[in-house]
Amino acid sequence: MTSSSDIDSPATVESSTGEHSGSATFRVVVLGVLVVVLLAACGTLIWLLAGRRGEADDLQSSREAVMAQTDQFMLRMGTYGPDLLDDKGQMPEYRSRVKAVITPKFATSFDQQAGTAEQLVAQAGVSRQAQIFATGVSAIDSDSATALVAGTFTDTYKKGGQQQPVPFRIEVSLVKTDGKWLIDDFTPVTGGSQ
Amino acid sequence: MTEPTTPSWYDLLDVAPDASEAEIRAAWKVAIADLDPTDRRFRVRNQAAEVLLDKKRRAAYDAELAAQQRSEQEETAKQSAEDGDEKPGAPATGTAIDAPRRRVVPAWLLAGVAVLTAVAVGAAAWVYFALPSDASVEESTRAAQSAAERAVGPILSYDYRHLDEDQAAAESYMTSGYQQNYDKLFAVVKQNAPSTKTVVTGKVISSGIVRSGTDRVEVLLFVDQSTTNKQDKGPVVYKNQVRAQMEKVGGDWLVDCLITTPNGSCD
Repeated sequence: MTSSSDIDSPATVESSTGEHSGSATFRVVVLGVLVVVLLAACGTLIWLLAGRRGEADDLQSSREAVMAQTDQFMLRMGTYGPDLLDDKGQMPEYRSRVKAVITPKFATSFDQQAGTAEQLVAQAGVSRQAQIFATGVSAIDSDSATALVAGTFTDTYKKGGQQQPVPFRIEVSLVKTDGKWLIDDFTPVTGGSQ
Repeated sequence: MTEPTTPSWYDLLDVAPDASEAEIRAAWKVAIADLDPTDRRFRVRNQAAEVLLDKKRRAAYDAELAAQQRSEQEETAKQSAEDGDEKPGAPATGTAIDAPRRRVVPAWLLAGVAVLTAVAVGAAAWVYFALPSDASVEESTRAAQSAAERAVGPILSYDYRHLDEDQAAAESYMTSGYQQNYDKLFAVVKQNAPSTKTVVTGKVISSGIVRSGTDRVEVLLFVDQSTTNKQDKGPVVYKNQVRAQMEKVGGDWLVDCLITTPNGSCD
């Protein structure tokens, strides 16, 4: 009687087809591994790119816009003199320069400060020059920001000449209106000891 | 199309399924002629001849082959029906066992997928190492700001009674490059502070970011420096501002430069 072992598949012991079959299996395995790695790499790439959409650059750009507008505000608010006075003893150009970088809400209180400055210029012939030393952003989100700015005001009197520069450290609040940063308020930074 | 998946004893001896005993014997002799008895194929081909030259065993083997072929035909037909790839009119094989023919992944496909994989892995690695994530930039920037707030106080403070300790404390917040500049300045302090009994205490009031980054960040700090000496017992407070350039060194944010004057720079 012929046993089944007698007729076991010869392919298990010899033949080119056996080698061929092994090679084909190996290729399938390699292809499978490559596809898995490819999918994993593509997934990782998408995930990495999702976290690098340039939001940090956008935020830094916003900081720079806030700092530039803060500088403009301080320079415009802190620079005036008799050459800006009109016949009525007012400085309309000074007011319009400053109002171009502040909110309408802040413009109300600024008008009062401008009146004081106009009186000083008209009566004492004072001129003021602002200089900015440094600006930074202490807080920022999509539509509001807080900036720090340091510098000096240097007053020059018609009689008395140029005074010693007076340093300032100011915290400026800004809001974003129609895509433009505008100064909404400012307060001197005095520190705890004062 | 039915194709046996394994070669038969007939295939091994390269004879037809209906070959005569003489043909099988002749084929067997040819097949083992050049083989060493220790060769694995020698044994296998002998085994093939043993089966095929024994009428009973050959008949049993033929019957089993036929059954195997039928089984494979049925399986193939079933699979073809499922896959729908049976070509109409394709003749069924009548031979006992053909050489197995499996679908092989072509080399060009492997090469193509390998190239795509390499590109994807390379791109992911480049993005990971070359482009910092938005979150990491902001996280680093905040960490640098906090480090600057901690560092500037000690750096701008000293007490004539323990200058060496103050210097060591300040140096722990600096890069080695900035430490050299600081030591030069502090040498002057060491010369004068004991005689004037000067005590300076720096306190950070507020800070803001000038420039963000993952390895370099610039921070603006408002600092009140309270000073006493033997002439002024009550503290005199100087309201200063400093710009600190922070550098990440070995995972720590250190002061690489302090600009304390209005028109100062780190160059």
